[in-house]
Amino acid sequence: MKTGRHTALIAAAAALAVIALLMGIIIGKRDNQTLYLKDIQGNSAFLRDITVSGVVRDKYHGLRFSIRDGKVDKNFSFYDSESDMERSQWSSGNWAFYDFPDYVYNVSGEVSADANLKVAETPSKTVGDRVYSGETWPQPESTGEYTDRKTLSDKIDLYVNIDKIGEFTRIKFKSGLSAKSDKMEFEFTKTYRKTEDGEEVIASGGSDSNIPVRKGNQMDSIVEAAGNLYFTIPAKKSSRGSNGIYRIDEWSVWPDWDNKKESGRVTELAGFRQDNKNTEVVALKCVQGKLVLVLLIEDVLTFRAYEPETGELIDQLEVRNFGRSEISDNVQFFVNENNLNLCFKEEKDIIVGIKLDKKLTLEYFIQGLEVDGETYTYLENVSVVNNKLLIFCGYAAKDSVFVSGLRPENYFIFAYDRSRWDSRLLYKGEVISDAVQDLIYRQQNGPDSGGFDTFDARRFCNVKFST
Amino acid sequence: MKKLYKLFNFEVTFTLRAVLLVCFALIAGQNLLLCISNRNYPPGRYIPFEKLIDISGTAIVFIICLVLILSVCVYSVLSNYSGSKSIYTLMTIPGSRGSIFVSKLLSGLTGMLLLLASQLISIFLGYLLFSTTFAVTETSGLIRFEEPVNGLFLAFVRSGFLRILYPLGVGSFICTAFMYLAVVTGVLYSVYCFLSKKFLYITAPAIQVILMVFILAGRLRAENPGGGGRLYIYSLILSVFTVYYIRQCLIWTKRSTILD
Repeated sequence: MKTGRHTALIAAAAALAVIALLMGIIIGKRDNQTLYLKDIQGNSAFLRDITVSGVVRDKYHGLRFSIRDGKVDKNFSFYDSESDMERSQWSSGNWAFYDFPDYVYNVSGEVSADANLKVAETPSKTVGDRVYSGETWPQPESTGEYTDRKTLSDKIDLYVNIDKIGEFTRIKFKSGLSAKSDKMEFEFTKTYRKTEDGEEVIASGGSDSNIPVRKGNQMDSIVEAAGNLYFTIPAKKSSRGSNGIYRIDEWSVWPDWDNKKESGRVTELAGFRQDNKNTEVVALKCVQGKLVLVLLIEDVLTFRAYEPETGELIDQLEVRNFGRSEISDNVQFFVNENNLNLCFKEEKDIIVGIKLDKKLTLEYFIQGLEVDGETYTYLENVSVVNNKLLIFCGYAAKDSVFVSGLRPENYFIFAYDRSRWDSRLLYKGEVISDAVQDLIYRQQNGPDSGGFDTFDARRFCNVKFST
Repeated sequence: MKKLYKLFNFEVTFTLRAVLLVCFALIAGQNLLLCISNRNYPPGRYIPFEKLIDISGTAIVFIICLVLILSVCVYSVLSNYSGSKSIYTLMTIPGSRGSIFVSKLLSGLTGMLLLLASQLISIFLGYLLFSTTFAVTETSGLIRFEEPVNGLFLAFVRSGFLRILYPLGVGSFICTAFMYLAVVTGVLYSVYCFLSKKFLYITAPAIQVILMVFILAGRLRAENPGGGGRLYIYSLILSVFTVYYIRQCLIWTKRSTILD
C-alpha cells in the first residue's frame, strides 16, 4: 500500500481522536438523566429551607442528586461491581429487600412436649431409592425405609433462628412463647429414614405452618445497639407466654449447632407476658442508642424505651387514638437521629412519629397520604426537619405488574405541618425521573423479558431531608 | 528514535489495508446483526439498546475481528522470518535492534485502537439506526416516537460488552487498558516463543489467558467479589505479564535468539 511518511502517526491519531470524541459525547451525557420536582399541590416555598438528597441507582451506576429551592445538582458514579452499589436504608420481611443483610432471622414452631398429636404416616418409598416426580433416583450407600409423617398438633413452642450471613454461625433459641389451637391447626410434614441400625433420622421436609408471628417484620425484630445484637419475637396476639428483649452473648459455630434443639447463648434483658391482654409485638428498633420496643396492646399503639446495658425501662408512650386492633404485616420504619417514624400500610396509610430525648413524645400522627385513586404506596423516607414532616414515597398502581415486586412507578414528596395534631398537608410534589422508563421493557415484554433482577432497574434510594 | 519511527511507519503501512478491511467488516457485520434483531421490535415495542446488543451477537463479531487484527500482527512478525527473510535487512538499519519489536508492538496497538474506534462508530451508528422506541403516538396526523432518555449512555453503563471495552470507572478503565496491552504483547511474545522454539515459555501466556477469562467472566456480570478495588489487583498482575513479555521479547530480539 503506497502511503506517506507519517501514515502510522495519522492512523493512530485518527483512531485516538475518534475514541476521544465519541467517548467524550458519552461521558458528557452522564448527568443527562431527567430529574426535577413538579409542584402538584400547595406552595413549594415550604421546601425552600429543605434539601432533598439521595441517589437514583441500579447495580451499574448511581446518580447522586440534591434538590433545593427548585435547583437540582447531579453527580454520576460508575459502579465497577454490584458490591459498589449504594445500599438501601430500609428492610422488610426476613431479610432486607433492597439491601445485603448481615443476618437472617426467622421464627419457627416445634411440637410442644405436652401437645396432643395426630400422626398420619405414609410409607411410600422403595428401599434404597427415592422417587421424585415419577423418576427413581438411586440413593448412596446407606439404605433404609422412608416414611412421610404428617403431624397435627394443638400446641407448638416458638423458636428463634438467627443466622449470620457469610459465617456458619447460628442462634437457635427456645422462647417462652407457645401457641395453642383447638382445631389442631399446626401441621408438620417431614420425611424420616430408618437406618440399618433401626435409628430414625429426618431425610427431608420439616415444614410448619400457622406460626403466630408477624412475617412481614421479622427483620425489624433484630437490632444492633451498644455493641451488641438484640432481638425480640414479633409474636401475634394468639401467642401465649413470656416474650421480651434478648441479648445475644455467644454464637454457635457449625458443626456445633447441627441437629441441636438450641444453640448459642442468649440473655433476657427485659421480659413481659403476652397472656392477659391482646398483645402483638411489632418491632424492636434502636433510637439514639436506646432500644425501643413497638407493641400493639388491644388497639393502643405502645412504645417502650429501654437502656440496652441494663434493660431498665426509660419511658412508655401510648398512642390511644391509633384505633386499630389489627394491623397488616407490612410496616416500614425510619430512624432519623432521635426520631422513629413508622408507616402502617393499611387501606389508608397511618404514619406515626415519635421522638426520644429523656422521654418518649408523640411528634405527629397522619392517616392517609394524599393519593389519587387506588394506588399502592411505598415510603423511602419520613423525617421531621425544621418543624415539617417530610415524606418521600413511591407509587405503583394497584393493578400494576410491579406491585408485588415493589417497583415504584412515580415518586412524590409530601410536606406536612407539624404544629397541628392532625398534621395539615402543606405541599405535594412529584419527582419526575426517567428511572421509571427502566420498567417499560418488562411491562411490554412480560415473560419474554428474560427475567427480572431487582437491581437491573433504577430506583430512588437513601433519600434524606436536611436543612 | 528515527529508526523506530521509520519502522513503526513501515509496519503500519504494511498492515493498514488489512486492518481497515477488518474495521469496515466490523461496522457492517454488527449493524447487519442489529438490523436483523431489530425486526422483532417494531415501533412501539421496546427493548433497551444494551439488550439488543446482547441478543444480536455483536460481541461475537468483535471477537472475530479482534482475532483477525491479532492475526495481522502475527502475520507481520512471521513475514519477516519467512520468504525473503526481511528481518536481516531490518537488523542492518542503524539503531537499536529492539526497535524492531517495539515497532511491531506499536503497530499492533495502533491496529487495536483502530478496531476500538470502529467499534465505537458501529455502536453509535447502530443506536442511530436501530434503537427502539417506547410508543408511537399520532396527533393531528403527526407521528411521534417516544424514545428513552439517555438510552445510548445507559447502554454503555449497563451492557457487559461495552462496560469491558469502554469502561466509565477508573478501576475498570485501568484494568481494560492493561488487558489490551497484555493481549497484544502476549500474542507477540507467543509468536516469538514459537519462532525461537522456546515452547515452555508459552506457559506465561497460557496462565494469562486463564486469568483474563476469569476477569472477563466477573466483569461481564458486573460481579467483582471484593468490589472495584480488586480490579487494581488484576491490573497489577496484567502489568507484570506485559512488562515480562516486553522485556523478554526485547532480549530475544537484541540477542537475535530467533535467528539461531
